[in-house]
Amino acid sequence: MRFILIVSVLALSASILLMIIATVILRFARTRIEARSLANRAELRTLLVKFLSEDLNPGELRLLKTSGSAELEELSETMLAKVKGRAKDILVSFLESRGTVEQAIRRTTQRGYLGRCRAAAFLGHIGSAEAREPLEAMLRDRRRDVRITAARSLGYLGDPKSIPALLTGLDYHRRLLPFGTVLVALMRIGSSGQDLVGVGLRSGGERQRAVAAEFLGLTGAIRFTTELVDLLVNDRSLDVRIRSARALGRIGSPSTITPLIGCLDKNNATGLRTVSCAALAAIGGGQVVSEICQLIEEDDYLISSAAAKAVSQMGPLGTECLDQIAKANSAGSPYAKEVLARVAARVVDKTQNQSEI
Amino acid sequence: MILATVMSTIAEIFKGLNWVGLSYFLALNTIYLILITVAAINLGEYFRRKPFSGFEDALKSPVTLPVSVLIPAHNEEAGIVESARAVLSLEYPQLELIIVDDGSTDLTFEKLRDAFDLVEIPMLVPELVPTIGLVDSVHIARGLDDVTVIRKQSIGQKTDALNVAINVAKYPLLCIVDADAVLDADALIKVTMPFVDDPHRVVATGGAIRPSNGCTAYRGRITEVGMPKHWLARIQVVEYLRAFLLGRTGWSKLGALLIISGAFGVFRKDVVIDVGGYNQLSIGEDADLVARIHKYMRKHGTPYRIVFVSEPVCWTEVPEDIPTLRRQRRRWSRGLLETIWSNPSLLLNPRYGTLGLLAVPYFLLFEVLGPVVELTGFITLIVALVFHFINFYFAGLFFAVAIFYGILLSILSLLIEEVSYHRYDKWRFLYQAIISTLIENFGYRQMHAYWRLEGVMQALRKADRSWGPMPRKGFIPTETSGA
Repeated sequence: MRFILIVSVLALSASILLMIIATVILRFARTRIEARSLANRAELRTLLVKFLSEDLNPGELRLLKTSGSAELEELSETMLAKVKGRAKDILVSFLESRGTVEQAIRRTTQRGYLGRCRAAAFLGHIGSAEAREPLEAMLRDRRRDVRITAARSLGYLGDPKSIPALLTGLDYHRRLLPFGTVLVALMRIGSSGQDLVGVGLRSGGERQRAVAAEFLGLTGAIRFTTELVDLLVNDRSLDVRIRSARALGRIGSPSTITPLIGCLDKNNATGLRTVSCAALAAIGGGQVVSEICQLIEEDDYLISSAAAKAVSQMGPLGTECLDQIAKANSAGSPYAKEVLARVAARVVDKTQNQSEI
Repeated sequence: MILATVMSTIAEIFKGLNWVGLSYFLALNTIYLILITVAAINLGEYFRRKPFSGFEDALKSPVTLPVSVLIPAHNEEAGIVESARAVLSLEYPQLELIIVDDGSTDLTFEKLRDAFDLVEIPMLVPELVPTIGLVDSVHIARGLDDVTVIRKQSIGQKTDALNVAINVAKYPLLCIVDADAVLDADALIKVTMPFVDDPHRVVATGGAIRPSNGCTAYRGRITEVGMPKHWLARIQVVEYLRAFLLGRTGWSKLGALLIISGAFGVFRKDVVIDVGGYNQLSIGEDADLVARIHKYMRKHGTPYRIVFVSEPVCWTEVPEDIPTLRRQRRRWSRGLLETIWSNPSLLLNPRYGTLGLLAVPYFLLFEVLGPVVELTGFITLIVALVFHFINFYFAGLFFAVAIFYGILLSILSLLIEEVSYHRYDKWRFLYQAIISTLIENFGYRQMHAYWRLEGVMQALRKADRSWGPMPRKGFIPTETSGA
């Protein structure tokens, strides 16, 4: 037993010593490597910046072309996200001349998922049209990080043709894309994608309809008002209905007042009612003020406070309504008083558009 | 003859006890080793994935969930304004700040009033979760969106202040932050990323806590990371690294996270309301809330995840004097025992998976009862030595194995920190940390065991629950930051 203890003590002491030495060596190596890498990158960055501003002499150009591909690619990738216009064109053609784009496309199917991620990110920044199809294929990758990076890159590419693939990615078996990633990618593509997103509004699964409603609201797609109203009234998913209400508020068409007022009905879910309140406040109008003012007197504090906040954003008519309720000493008076005090302190409240989880 | 037999029997018992003590130490440290290994693998994965994690998307996304940041404050005049500014300058699409001045007798409220030009408003605070202390007044910052300060009567419990803040919060995510805490600029977006990635399952996340003593802050942001000047705080730096950063990362990876620190955690508001908010009678409110969330989600058969994210850092002042540290550790120990005591169904219950079968028994056996075994081990070792039941050589070997294993784990934690975050970047910080791993075993560890034992005794006696004073020094003056 004594022998075991002695061996244990010796082994532990040796391990401790080794760990300490490893930590110190690591620190030392890290410091050296970081310093060297910084110096190399600084030199390379200077060359690259001069190259992009077409200010490079032949010697420097030779140096740039013969420099290590990994470091140059990494730096180019960082710069691609920052430069625009002619400088970007120069950088892209330089990378194409080195065969970097083909290499990246080949890497989209390589074994290591980090390599695939890096390739996807690179292709997104380079903005090459030929990258779209490989990136769309990556939306079905078995690794989540790869799918997310590919979706983000498709957003950077900005080609509306990739919208159906992005929307399908929301519901692709178990290999799903996060809602927010797809929405941000769609927002990067912009309003030119409204028509293709609109298709998802009509025929997609629940998550597709939800993201489509958000996107159309955020891009002010007034021509999709009818479809959004249809979702608001008839969709079986509460989440889709709430997002449609919010989208209609953002679009701001007076023609949607009636269906939105219909959503204020007590039989509807609290989330839908509060978002409809905010949407109606964004659209505005005398009829809307009186409808929402009634809600301030409700028992449910979520509805009362949401209604009071909504009314406070509706100009003099709203303020007048709040004044009356505040003086009435009714159930809604405390909410009206609070909102009036907030307005007096010039505090702008933006909470109403946020949906419940 | 009889005396010799008795003495021999006693000697055997003492030897046996010592073996039990040693085995206990080995088991505890081996569990730590497993947790640290799991954490190291997880950290490696995290760092490889980091460039593709999509923080930028989350910052730009119009659907990133807004957060209510809740800060309970009791006599926090030293750092409350810095903390509030730190929260307001966080990188996050939309947040509100709610500070609850819980009956402060110092200038906490006055400092906030002057800094944010507070205006009192009439507000009907809903009772979504129960509260005891009456709300005196509600204030908002003039011209600033989303800053609310509530003054309430204190009942001596932080939990009551937090429940008031929950009732006032308007956003779907609640971030609980200690009044003396300073968050890194990207801490909130990083700690909420699991909600973005997996919105239907993630119900709570926790971030890493590191001691802020010795750091320099400017306008609510840590500008220079430093090691504390006091050895007591330096030991805690290593302790936080080993237990809170790597330990929790390990438990999280195993799907058995029981504690999200009260200093920095994010919760889904609807779930917190469903479980009834914080339990005002609990002194370990953080563990208690997480335990009840586990129970609630399992009871309703809802798939869920509680995640620890190791990168977002919350810097908090750790005690530099023994009485304050003693109070803190007594409270932690007592809180943990009370949490397990009040949630007995979690223990050894296969229904709770790794949590019930591994994490809770671990916390009971090693964290709660640990000090009993540790102190018994030390005492029997000394008694055995005094009465020559074992020889010095053998005792020395026993002691060395137990201590060296602990040191090995601490050094391993430092190595992982060096490979991963590398926050303490000066050479002297590294030396100080290494020395701290050695000296914590001689005096600190034994004192710590005794304080934890006191906490257990307090829980059993049902002693007074008040927190006691926690003096704060604040940060190194901003002028020295050079920022």
